[in-house]
Amino acid sequence: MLKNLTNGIKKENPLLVQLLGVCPALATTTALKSAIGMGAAFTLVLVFSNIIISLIKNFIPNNIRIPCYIVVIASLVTVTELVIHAYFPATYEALGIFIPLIVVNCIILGRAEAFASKHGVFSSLLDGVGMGIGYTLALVLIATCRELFGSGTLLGQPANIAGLPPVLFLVLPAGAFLTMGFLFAALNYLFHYRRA
Amino acid sequence: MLKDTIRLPLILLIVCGLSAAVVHYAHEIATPVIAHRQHQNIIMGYTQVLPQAVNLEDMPLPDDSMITGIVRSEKDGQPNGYIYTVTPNGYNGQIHLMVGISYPHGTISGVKILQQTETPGLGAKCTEPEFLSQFAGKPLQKKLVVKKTAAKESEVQAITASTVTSKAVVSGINAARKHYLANYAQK
Repeated sequence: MLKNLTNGIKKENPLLVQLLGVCPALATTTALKSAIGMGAAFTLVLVFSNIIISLIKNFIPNNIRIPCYIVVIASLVTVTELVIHAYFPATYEALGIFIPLIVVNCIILGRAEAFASKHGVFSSLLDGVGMGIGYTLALVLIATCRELFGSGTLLGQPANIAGLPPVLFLVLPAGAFLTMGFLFAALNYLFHYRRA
Repeated sequence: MLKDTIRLPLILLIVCGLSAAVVHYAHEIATPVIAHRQHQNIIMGYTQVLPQAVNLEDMPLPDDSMITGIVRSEKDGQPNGYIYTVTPNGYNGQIHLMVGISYPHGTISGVKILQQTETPGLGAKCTEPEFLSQFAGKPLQKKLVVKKTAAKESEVQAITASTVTSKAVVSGINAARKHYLANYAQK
């Protein structure tokens, strides 16, 4: 049971291992604050979509399952967007277009297809939580590097380490690819290569 | 075969119908909250961009312009400022901002971004005081221009790596400036 939860955090981390959901990861990791907001919104949608899809999996015929999943996910995202807009205006303003874009985030459809449609409600819930935490952690990791070295701040507060001048390049899209590349290489080395 | 042609659309219909009902319900709850906050935001914005704002009155709008709102502030029967709401096109969609102009000096009293969808971490910095505070006190005789390093009074320091956003904000302010000079400024 517990494996369903931890799977998404380390072994099958959606971003670090499966390399899914890269697009929002590039765009929302310019600042730690928006990465946390994105991770939270994403986790919320994923958990509910996993629960609902595992509940309705026996009712949905196989040949129309994808449109059904998409409708469920799109509705959840719309509801989430409305809630964030109404009660967390600062997060809404920081994330902008990337909240509605959670609809087409492949991790959510991927988990619906690969996990929730084949497992029970409770396992799916755990899977959603685990994958959500895994994705959020990965975003936080990338955003910390980019904000710290790219803008010289952390959570909007000045945090200039070792007096380095901010490398603006890291905040730009190309810097996102570089940061991700180096981070993934380091993590792969730590978790896989060294053990072999 | 025939069974499927009826069964599948029917199931799809049920799924869509239920989803639509949930979205509608959330919309019903959230919309008044959002509208209320946006209204509060505008009221607060008025005093932020024009501290002396009192007795606000809507003014007629020009055609074909990015100006979407003009209010006049009046004290003792004399106007003491104008607030423009302008919506220039940014990098990622429209930016809604408010420009306060104090009368009769004809200087910018403040600028506030009401709504924007610029890139987080780059253009979205246009909401920060670091960028916005430079507008307060600028005279309107000359058109404002965006520069990498602003030296003159009519020059505006761009947000690093977000020239399009900076230019959009300034073009909105210039639209307000043009309209103010043509219609309200003391000759």
